Amino acid sequence: MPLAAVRKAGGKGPDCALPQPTGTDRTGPLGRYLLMMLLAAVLSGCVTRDVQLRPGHVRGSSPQLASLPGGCRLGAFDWVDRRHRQELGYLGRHAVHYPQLAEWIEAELRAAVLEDPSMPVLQIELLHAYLESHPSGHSLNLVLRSREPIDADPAAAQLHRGQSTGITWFGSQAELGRYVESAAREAMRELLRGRADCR
Amino acid sequence: MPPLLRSLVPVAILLLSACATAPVPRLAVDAREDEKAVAVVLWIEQSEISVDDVNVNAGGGLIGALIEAGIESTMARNRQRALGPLRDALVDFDLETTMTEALRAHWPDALVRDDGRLSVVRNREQWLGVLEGMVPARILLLRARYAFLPDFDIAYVAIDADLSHYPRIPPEPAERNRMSSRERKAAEPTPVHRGRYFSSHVRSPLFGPGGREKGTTDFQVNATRWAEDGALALRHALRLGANEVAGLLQRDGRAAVPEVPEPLRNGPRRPRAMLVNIHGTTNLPYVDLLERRDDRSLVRFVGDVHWVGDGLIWP
Repeated sequence: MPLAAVRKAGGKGPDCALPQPTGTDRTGPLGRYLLMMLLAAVLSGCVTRDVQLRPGHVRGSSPQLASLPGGCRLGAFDWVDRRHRQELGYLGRHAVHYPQLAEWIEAELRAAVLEDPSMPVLQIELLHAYLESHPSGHSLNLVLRSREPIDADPAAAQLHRGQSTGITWFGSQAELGRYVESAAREAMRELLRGRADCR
Repeated sequence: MPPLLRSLVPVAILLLSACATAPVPRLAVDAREDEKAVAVVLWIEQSEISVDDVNVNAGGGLIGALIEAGIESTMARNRQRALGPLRDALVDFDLETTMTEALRAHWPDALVRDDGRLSVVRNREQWLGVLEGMVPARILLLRARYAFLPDFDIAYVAIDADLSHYPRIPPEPAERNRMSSRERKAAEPTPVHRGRYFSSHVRSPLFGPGGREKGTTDFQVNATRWAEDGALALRHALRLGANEVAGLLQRDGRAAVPEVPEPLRNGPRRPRAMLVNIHGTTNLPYVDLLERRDDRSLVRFVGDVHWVGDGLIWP
């Protein structure tokens, strides 16, 4: 409904109506430009060299992520971080780190299972956790390996892979944390499916 | 020449200089030992075999960009899923060891001193750590990649070789910004020799008998084929690929990569072949055939040297 017709009818104009100028704009175009440049210069100092993920970025960040199955029984396990590299990858020139990744996965696994001494003892290894860049986003791949005692047949080792790919809108820590959580939970679910008794 | 025209010559040179491509730096074949690199640094950033991204063009503007992002993300996700079984099959394949052994077997003696060190790095931090103990020095940096093309029809190993003189550790952006232009120039590495070498492999011939059946061009079908028999064909391709690119690096340093003989270059007898869908091309370019060995051909494409299998060229 045209604005003029609304006003004639005594109603309020639409909320999106442009405000009328109330006086002289003291800043002026040059002042606004300089202010923007100053803000950009100040804020640029906030861009850190590396991206550090913290537990708050990774844990429970998305209600859609399925939780690990409950009531699973698993044998006692040793946890080993076998990654060749500790950084997850790069966001442009900035390395992405999550220093607590290995201990977080171990804690999640131990919290999700009941240790059953009658089941085989396992060694669970974190083999890979890395970020790959794509034109519009990233992928995070996380690989666990579980094996029974070291003198068992190496072919009996199982791989449990988690993968998360998506569009990266802002490159924020929360966004990257969601990739980590999604991939890690998928790998952990695969491990429990393959090794645990979840009846 | 009239004075006015003479005065325009420098302007013409300046404008036309943008059309000229910079020559690729080459180290002389008979370089002295002190002109060669003191070390080789092999940089392998990836943790597992990868797949090249698909380029999507959905038009300009915000809507086009959003459509592009959505399509690219879906295609990336599907390809990552298809890679899973292949990565699992290669879990015990160590490209670093394979490449290191290939480089030692084909030591680039024309580019690196015989007693040169060989280091492997995985990220920028490790690279700077290696540099710190050596600069100022000439160092041969090899960036290696092993991956599939987006349709999984071709697996390749590639090396990007850069022999440069490093006067110091390259400054970080913040330090560069504080430098004068003369200081910046003095701090930059000086290129001495450059080259790119590829080794490409197909699982099934793309032309001729046994070629692709109609309707079987799906990337998932190709990925499944590579994964057969514990990805045996892929392991063989990667090992052969590492040795082929290391061999090309060695030969290039010795100026021993063959070229098309001068008498044939501009005539109908120039040895050429049609190259199939190599590295992002959608047309079928003609390339110079440089050498044949068993079922492999050495070709030059856009300045780079490629070993390709019979399934990749026609005829």
